[in-house]
Amino acid sequence: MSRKLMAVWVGVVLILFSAGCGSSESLIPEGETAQVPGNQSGPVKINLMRNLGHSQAILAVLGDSRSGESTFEDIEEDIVWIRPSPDLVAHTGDLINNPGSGIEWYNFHKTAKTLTDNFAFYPVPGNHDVDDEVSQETYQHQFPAPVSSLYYEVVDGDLLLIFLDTELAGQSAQITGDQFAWLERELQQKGANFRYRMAFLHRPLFPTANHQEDSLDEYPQARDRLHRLFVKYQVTLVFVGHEHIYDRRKIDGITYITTGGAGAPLDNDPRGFYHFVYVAETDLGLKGYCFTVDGIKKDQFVIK
Amino acid sequence: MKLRKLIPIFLAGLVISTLIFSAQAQAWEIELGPNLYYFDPEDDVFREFYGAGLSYGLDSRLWFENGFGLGSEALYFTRNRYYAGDDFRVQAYSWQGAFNYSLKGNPRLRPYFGVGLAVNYVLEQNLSGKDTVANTTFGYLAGAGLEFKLKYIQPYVQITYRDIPAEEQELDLTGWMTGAGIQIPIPLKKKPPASAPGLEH
Repeated sequence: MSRKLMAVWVGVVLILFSAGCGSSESLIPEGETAQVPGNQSGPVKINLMRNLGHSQAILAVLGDSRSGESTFEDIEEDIVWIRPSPDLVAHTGDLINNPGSGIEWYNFHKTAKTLTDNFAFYPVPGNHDVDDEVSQETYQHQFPAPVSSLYYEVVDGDLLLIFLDTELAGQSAQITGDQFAWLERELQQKGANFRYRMAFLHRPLFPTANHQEDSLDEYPQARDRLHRLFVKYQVTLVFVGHEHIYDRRKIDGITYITTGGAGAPLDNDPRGFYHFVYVAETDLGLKGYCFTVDGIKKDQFVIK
Repeated sequence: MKLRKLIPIFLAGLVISTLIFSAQAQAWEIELGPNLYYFDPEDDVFREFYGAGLSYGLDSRLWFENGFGLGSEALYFTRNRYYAGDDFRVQAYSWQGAFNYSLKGNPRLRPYFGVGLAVNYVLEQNLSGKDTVANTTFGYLAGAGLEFKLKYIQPYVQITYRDIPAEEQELDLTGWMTGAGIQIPIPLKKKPPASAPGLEH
């Protein structure tokens, strides 16, 4: 090889070096048409001012964002743009994919900044967030009180919001023991003071898609006891996740909404689409909407 | 220990390499030695959370007379991070195999480039006692380097780019590896002479 070729080769190596170093019955109406203009290339501007009338408390609910960052970010933008703006955002769990992972919690906080900078943010733990005492402790380190308490209550206007933990170490897939006693006490002592009572938990009581027998139905007696408590104290709405679908159904007067479509892979089910739920307390009652990530209204309901 | 998952792949790589080495009895040089690289991850989240850092291991090479060569590297990378009240550690065990080609000319220098495959076993641990992420990823690599042929050792500098596609829930080890190493030549078999002594007329 000539000296010139050698010199060229050494030059190429040096350039590469410098580059490297720098560097029951579903209530979902069928055939609902889009009523809100969606914009595929940017955030969706959803304006419900006229539809809502005078509103008090407003919340957005989403769940199971996991590692689906781009979808989660799009939903965050939707929630930022929707009017009237929510007072708070609730998450039904599975914020990350691998329980206890430091890098995933870091990524979650980075990705969720749009929500957490603009709204009060109240999550519940999912089975991808917590699967033992170590990951439970890591979860608790991610959030301030009251979220770090794992189960807690929040008051918003005339709403009593109760956040439950279905992943409590040693008691997963059930609400039992001290947590159940606390819930009963809260509903007994405070429930009647509020016009509406809502509960949020990760695993559904009555799963209908991919997580049957892997939800609270794993312990039917504890599940039925919880449902009876909700009925007794007239809990208005129960939000769950775990199944990557949107579903709304009424069981014994309790409206159960599954919202698990904020980024994780969708269930192979017609109800599987990326979405969030918007609920506003109005003079006419609780008005609720389900919007796809593209701003298409898929469901609406009123609970008086 | 989850490292076991990687062992069969690792052994398979070594066996294949050895078979190839044996088949090439005319080979004129085998080298073995330590290496030290600076790993600069490309993934933003990995870079921000664990950052870049040093990776070290062993490197072995076999060079043929025609300029072609085989390379095999075993690498270890680890970084710690304290975050939100917990200590975390990432560890990556990598094996990289490459087909290399060296340009001839200068007896004191061996410039070379190569392409190959990388297998990585990546583990994230919460140091309170939990493996949080453990995955095996496969990828491609391309690199170039320069070996200085001294009397007893052969120091080299090398840069490699590794493209290691990772699922969203996996740790992404794509990035640049720049560094250096020292190779110690081990003469195993010499090329037979062109004509046997005594038969010359």
